[in-house]
Amino acid sequence: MSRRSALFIALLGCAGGGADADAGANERGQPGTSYADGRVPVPGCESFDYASCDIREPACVHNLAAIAHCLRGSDTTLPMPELVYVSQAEAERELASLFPSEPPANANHFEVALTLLGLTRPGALSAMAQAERYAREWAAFYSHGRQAILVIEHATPLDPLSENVVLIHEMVHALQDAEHDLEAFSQRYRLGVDTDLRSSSVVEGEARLHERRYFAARAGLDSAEIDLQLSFGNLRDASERWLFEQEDLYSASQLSVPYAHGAAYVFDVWDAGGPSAVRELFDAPPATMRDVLATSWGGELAVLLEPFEAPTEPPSGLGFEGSRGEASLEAWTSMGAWGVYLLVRPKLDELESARSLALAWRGDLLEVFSLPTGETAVRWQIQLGDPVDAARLAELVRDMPGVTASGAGARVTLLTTPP
Amino acid sequence: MRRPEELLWRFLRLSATAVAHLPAIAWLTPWLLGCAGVEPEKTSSARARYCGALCSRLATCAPGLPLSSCSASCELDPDFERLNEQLWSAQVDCIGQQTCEALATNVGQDACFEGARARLVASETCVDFCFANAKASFECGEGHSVAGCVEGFFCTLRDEVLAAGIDCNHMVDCSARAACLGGVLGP
Repeated sequence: MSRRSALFIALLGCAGGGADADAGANERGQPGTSYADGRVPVPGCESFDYASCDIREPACVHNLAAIAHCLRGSDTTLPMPELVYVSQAEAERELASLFPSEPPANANHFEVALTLLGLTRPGALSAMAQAERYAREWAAFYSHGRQAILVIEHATPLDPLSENVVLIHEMVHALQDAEHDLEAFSQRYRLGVDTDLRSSSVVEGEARLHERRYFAARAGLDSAEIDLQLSFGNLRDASERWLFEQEDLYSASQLSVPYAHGAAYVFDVWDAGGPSAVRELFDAPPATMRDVLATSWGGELAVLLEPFEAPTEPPSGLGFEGSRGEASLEAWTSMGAWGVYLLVRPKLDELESARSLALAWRGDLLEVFSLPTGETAVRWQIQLGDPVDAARLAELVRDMPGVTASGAGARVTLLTTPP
Repeated sequence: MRRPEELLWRFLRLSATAVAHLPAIAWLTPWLLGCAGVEPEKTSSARARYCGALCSRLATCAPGLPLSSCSASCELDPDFERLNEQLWSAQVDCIGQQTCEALATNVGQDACFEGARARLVASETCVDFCFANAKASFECGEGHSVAGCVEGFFCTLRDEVLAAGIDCNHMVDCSARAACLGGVLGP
């Protein structure tokens, strides 16, 4: 999917990392001028047209599809999807069908759990809220079910350059689907919060990588003269600045981390091993988001993880029971190193301290319980690299309202205390 | 018949929403406040010709407007220090052809400015700035097209301003670069 709002787009980039407003964005430079768009094609993809084109014209779509094939190093016989133009409302309906159906009222204990931890806000994770958010933010998205790219026609259309960039991004998704079956990839690798984010980071990271390479050429830049690693690092940092200004950190993470940290990660893989190394990520994605973050932030990669066993029954002795009766386990997942980062970054002035603590993550288990009173309770056990890190984390979360933190060795346990 | 002051006040009121790149607002204020007659610190033939044309035309709309004070105030506008001189000389004929109504509503100044901007040939310094800016912008995770820059607002700036902007674009830290560009190029 390609975002349309500036993030880092101001930040953060713009729609799909396209041009920003003050650059103007219509027809660019007469061909032959020293500054014309696309005057220096992407190396290895010289035989295509880099001039601005109208994506409603078949020739334009055909050319962009050919460029996407080349950028990704894909088999040119792979079919390309059709383009379908939909209104924002139609996109919202389409997207809503992709999310789980609405839970019964007040029964979305996972959302309540994240709210108790300060990571989201009530109602943010409902199917309708997510569909509305994505339909508003995205310029287009690839639909596996329809084998089509859905271009969302917003009230304020994108400029031609950004439209072209967005289409390259979505065509990379179509090629990923044709080669790797994105539905099967999801079923195999997107199994919880942490694994979902790392898998999205592969899918969106690759699309963002090629989209940016294309954008550089379209913008009139010579790829040989630009520092892509620096670009993706700054994109990531700008994305984080935007993210931590948001109230709903969990949802904002889904909208930004795969495109920013994921892109920095996939760039590193591509830079070291080329397109084939990126292709292998679809069969062997990074084990956790910690790998993605350690690569992107520059941390130690070879660490011994300590994954938690899946819970089989509600634990006893947590204090949830007592006068309230027996708790029922509603959901559990690993929040991963990014979950720890979301927890600690707002509490630390120094970026590096927060990143260091997140990279100290070795495993975690977030369990969500329902109580007989209908309330939600949470236990989040986090295993860190050493007791010093655990003590730092426990100290940071000690003052969180409604949460108690205790440490034992390198493990910290957070328990919510429902009113 | 309206008194000249009435017409000028009307002109000022209507100008309050005008685009910021035109100097037609600020320079009238000291004239109305009695500061007219201050010698401009810097003059150039381009700004003198532009201000002369604008004041001459305004004087026909508001008889009694003192030309020398009008021009002196006009030439104090800080935009003359930022914008390419060719822009001003290229507007002289156009300003003289505008109606009083068009000048009072700033539509005339807008049209003349845009016309001059469209005819402006980008300087070598501006093209250099746009390459440096596009590269630095891309490496900061954003995106500018070189051509969009050359054909947009930036090449309306003086080469001295753009040269300082090139220096900003050599900064490694993206926040420092943005702050530097903001200071050099203005809002």
